[in-house]
Amino acid sequence: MGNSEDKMVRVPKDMYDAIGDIIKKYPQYGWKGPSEFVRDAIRRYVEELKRREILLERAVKVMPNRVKAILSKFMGPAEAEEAYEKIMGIHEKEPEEYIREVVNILSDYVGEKLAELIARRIVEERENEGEHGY
Amino acid sequence: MRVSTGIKNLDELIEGGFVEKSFNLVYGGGGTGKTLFTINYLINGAEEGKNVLYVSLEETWEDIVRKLPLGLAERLEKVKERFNYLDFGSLRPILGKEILKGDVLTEAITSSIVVHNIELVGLDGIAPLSMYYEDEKRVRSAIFDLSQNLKSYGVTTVFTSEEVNGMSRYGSEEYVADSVIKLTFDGKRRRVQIFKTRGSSFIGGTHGLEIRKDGLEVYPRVLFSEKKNSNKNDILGIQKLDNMLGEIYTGDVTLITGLPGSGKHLFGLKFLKSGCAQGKKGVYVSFESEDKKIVEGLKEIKDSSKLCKIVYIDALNTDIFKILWRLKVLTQNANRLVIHKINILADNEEYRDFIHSLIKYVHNMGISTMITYTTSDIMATNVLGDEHVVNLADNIIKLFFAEINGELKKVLAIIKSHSPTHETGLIEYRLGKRGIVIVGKVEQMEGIMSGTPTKQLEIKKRVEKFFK
Repeated sequence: MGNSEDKMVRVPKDMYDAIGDIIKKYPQYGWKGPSEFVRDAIRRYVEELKRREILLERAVKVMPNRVKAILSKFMGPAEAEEAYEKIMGIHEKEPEEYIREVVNILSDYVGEKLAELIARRIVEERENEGEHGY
Repeated sequence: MRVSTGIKNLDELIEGGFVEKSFNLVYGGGGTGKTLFTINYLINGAEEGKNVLYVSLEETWEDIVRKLPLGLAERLEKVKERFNYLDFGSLRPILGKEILKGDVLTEAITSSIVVHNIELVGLDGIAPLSMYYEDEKRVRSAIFDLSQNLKSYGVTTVFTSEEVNGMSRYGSEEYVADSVIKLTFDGKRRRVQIFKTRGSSFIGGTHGLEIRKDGLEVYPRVLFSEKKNSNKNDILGIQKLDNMLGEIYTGDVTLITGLPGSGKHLFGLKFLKSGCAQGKKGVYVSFESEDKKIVEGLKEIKDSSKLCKIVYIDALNTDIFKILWRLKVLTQNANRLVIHKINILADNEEYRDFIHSLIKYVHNMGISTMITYTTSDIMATNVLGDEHVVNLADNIIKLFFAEINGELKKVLAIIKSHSPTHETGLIEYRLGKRGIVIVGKVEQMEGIMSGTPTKQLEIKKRVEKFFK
């Protein structure tokens, strides 16, 4: 049941009909009606946005230094510093794009395949740390 | 075009170095110097102005640099702008075995080649490839692909592999490689052996190898020399003996063989002094500890310090091929060489190579040489020395003691000489304050060589008495 603080949101009719179809098709989710479906969808989307925001924040915060540390040992401090500066210059808002840009920069130094391995590993490290509450 | 190996004296063994854009294998057991060989190769290239790339699959670069000999580390420091590296050893704990996949390696290496305009590559330690490729056939295939890729980028590569049962680890590196060099170390001696150089010849056999502070140095088992000896007449410089010996020539090797106390070193000294007196440069190399008698003896000669050099070599603790190389260096521009107590080396299993190479070298270079050999016989016997030096010597003089009239006399015999008319009788000599004094032929005695001399007259009388 709604309360006095609730606000109305309009959706086009064909979208409303599509919601009805989904509710029927996936009863296992337990949506009692279109309103509950929309609330659930918004909640999930907000969570996703937050997750992506955190991912981007972590990537921006961690990747430059981690790449610098790895490259410094792998091929020397001069190139590591150079790559670091380039990565610091990335202004992407989407985490996937940001990571893609990091890979592109790394590829110039170590080739695409190794660049992807390094980037993937750094992201995995952060996710694992997140899971472990670091 | 050739690319220098950067290892002193190794280029001469393979027609001037590695073939440009080739893929070259260096393999050996642990501690044989494969990593140092690779780094030495790259440092030398960087010193020549080339951009170089070192790729480590096993050890981390940090560990490698920490363990470098001081001089090599200093050389590296001076060329670090052109010396690039990829340290897969440091990546493995982070990224696991995925980095050992052939295309990952190739792409990383070729990216660096392009970025840094690399000309020389050192790929050190391919053993970890088996961590990714469990099937050896796939390892071989990966090595082959890598070699083809690197060649296509125009770089000259040295790659190293472990020795397993006398072969390289995967048994196929030899086939992929354009040249194959094996390093060994038995705890005392380091050796380098060339097995293959595609498109050129090489000097086979095992050569000496030393890891010095400033890098590796090879001591070839043969000394290269172009024949310049024109066989001019020469003399030993010992009065009377020269006449008895007949003609000798520059570049001749004279073997003085005899037991301790027979004065072999004085023959050597006299030979050197005689050369100095004629303005010839000479070197006296002794394989035993410093001998003051030799030093004092040479002081008598005017300008001896300019013309003559005395060198002591600890033959038991020095690599035999290093000794050979030192003899070559010492005799640059020399006319005479004395090697005292060569028998100290005779038990060395590589002595045969040593003596053959040395004698060929002095022959070619026209360095008149006297070699002394100490035998262990007390009285005269048929022992002259080891077969190699005896076979190769041009002149052989044997010194021994003989009991004549109740006295122990010094006697010499000319066993071999160029001259067919050399003195065949036994010659008594003395060692006096002024050196060697030739007394003259031992007359009317028989059986000296057998150790039981008797007067010829007595024998004649006994024979006559017998027939009476």
